[in-house]
Amino acid sequence: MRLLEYQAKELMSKFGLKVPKGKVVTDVNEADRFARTIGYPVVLKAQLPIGGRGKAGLIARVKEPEEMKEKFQQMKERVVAGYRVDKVLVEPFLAHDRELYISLFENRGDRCFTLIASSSGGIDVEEVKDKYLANFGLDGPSEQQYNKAAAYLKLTSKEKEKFLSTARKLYSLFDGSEAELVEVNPLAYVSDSNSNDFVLLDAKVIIDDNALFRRPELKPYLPSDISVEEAEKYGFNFVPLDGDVAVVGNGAGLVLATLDMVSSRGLTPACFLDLGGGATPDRVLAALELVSRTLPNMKALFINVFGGITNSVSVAEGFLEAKKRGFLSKPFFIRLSGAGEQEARKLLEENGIESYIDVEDALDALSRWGGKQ
Amino acid sequence: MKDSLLASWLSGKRDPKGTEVMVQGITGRYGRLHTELMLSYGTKIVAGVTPGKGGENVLGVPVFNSCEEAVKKTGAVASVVFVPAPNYLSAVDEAIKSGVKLIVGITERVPVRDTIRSIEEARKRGADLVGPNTPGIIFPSKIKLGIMPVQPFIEGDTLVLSRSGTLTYEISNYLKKAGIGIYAAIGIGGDPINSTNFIEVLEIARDNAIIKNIVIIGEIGGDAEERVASYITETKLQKRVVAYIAGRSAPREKKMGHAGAIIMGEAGTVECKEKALNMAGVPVAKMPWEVPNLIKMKS
Repeated sequence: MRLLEYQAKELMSKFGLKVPKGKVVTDVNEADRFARTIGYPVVLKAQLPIGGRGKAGLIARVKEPEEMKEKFQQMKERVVAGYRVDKVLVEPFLAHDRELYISLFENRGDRCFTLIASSSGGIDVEEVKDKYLANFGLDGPSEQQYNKAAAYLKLTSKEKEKFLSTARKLYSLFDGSEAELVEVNPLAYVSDSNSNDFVLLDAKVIIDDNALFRRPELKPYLPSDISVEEAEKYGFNFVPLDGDVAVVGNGAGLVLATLDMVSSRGLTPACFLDLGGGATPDRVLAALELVSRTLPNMKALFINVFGGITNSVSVAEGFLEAKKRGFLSKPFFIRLSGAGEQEARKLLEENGIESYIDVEDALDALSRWGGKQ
Repeated sequence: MKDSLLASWLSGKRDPKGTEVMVQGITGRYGRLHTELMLSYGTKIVAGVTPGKGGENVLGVPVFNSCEEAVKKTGAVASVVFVPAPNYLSAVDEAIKSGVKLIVGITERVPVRDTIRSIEEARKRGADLVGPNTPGIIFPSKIKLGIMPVQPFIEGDTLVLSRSGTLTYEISNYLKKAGIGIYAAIGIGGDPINSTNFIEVLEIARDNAIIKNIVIIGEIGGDAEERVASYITETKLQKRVVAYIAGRSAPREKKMGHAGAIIMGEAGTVECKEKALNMAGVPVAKMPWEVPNLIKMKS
């Protein structure tokens, strides 16, 4: 689960970290009222769970109300990577000299965690060669690693003290919230009448979804996607996508491969839906109902089941029930192979439904349909 | 894992058939179903463990309250874990401390910090830990420690290593149709962190002359496939290695079913993995059904 910036900053401040005193708004008048209370210039930041917002024009520094209103309205009209801009974070513009980078993340390959610190904040850190990198375990970075990071950044002694405190708090958050990633870019040293400390100008937090069961305090940050929540209840893995062909199957890897197969025929997937292992007719029915209700752009349905623990007959039964209830108003293509394939296909055939054993044959049929679109 | 139980099977030094196995979480619906399926494949399940259900039996298999008791009374040396995610770490920990030498964690949705902790514990005691979020391990005709359907797996000379369950079944089935049998299929798991990874398995399998081909089934996310590529080049692995990687069409920054299947920025794309594998001389199938031909073409 990736938190939006304003949520990440809220969490950060709970851990004693300093963030700009901003406000998240949805309405331009509200934005103006808040901007006047903190005083122009202000920074507008569209709240989307994506990187590269600066380049995409989703962050703007504005000097006065007219400019603010114009930029705000422009942002609200944007749809980027399938996300519509709803919330905008309004923050004071904080003058600062240095921008640093710091992150803590799960290191998949080395099976541990990693700390990165760099004095080149504000830009894409993957491009930066000049950085301090240290792997650490479940006990967190060592004193030596924290100190080395600080030394690497060539900080003044006052800055160093503040940096170490910031880094330790970041680790408390990383560990205490069971994050996969905590990233601050840029981390700025703000020295003015209010502050002499590091302030987190941006914040990115990704939480380990699998740990949410024991982190109830993070529940409020769960994205409120009704269809995904419903899918969770049934134990489906469901990812709505932008395309035309709904893809349903059993097993995450197989469904992922099926997206590739559909795409290789020049068509675009409307969703990824993994029924999970051992799907019953009821679950198949629930999946098809969910797909038919929540994907308005869907033009066809492609089902790919390789029976093992999942019996093809259960899939066929669920499918027939879904058809009876009118959840299958769009063209569909079904591949059933493995356990129960003969009986399942016979059952479908008796109801006048063609199915395929070989996935390539099912794809050919889908392609023929696609060609007529 | 050089001198471990799994290593002795992979290197061909020991026949896995007849190994005494216990099932943790045997009284649950899922544990019970797969105990039955493993028994019917010939896996010698001698004990089940469910705290509080000691004294019962499941399909004739005695149930114990603790791993320690199960091991003492039955001599189990391997364990298959079906407990719910919140209990995974303590179940694995208990199995390790009871002296079991190989643990297969079927459990899905384990917090990554629990996985890391369990890896540390397993290392301390020299136990093999595979998973979590894996369909398990099968040595066709010898032993099945997991949930895979058995039809696709016939005995042979190909090692299948995979991050995905159903894709393993699907591709093994294509291999079967092409007359290619399997020495072992090992699911390393669909999570970001795998307790046993591709490299650790390859490190043992490389010296087994019976294994002629290796199929790597990967997917988007992480750098496990890139690491395989470096390993092959650096150690001059003398086996035919081919690969399939799912997720060419996947969007960025979205978790595609498996916790580990996510592209972050530019990292973890199929293109990136394919390029690295190709550089190491490993052909990558665009579609699952192309895998058998890649094996035949290379030989």
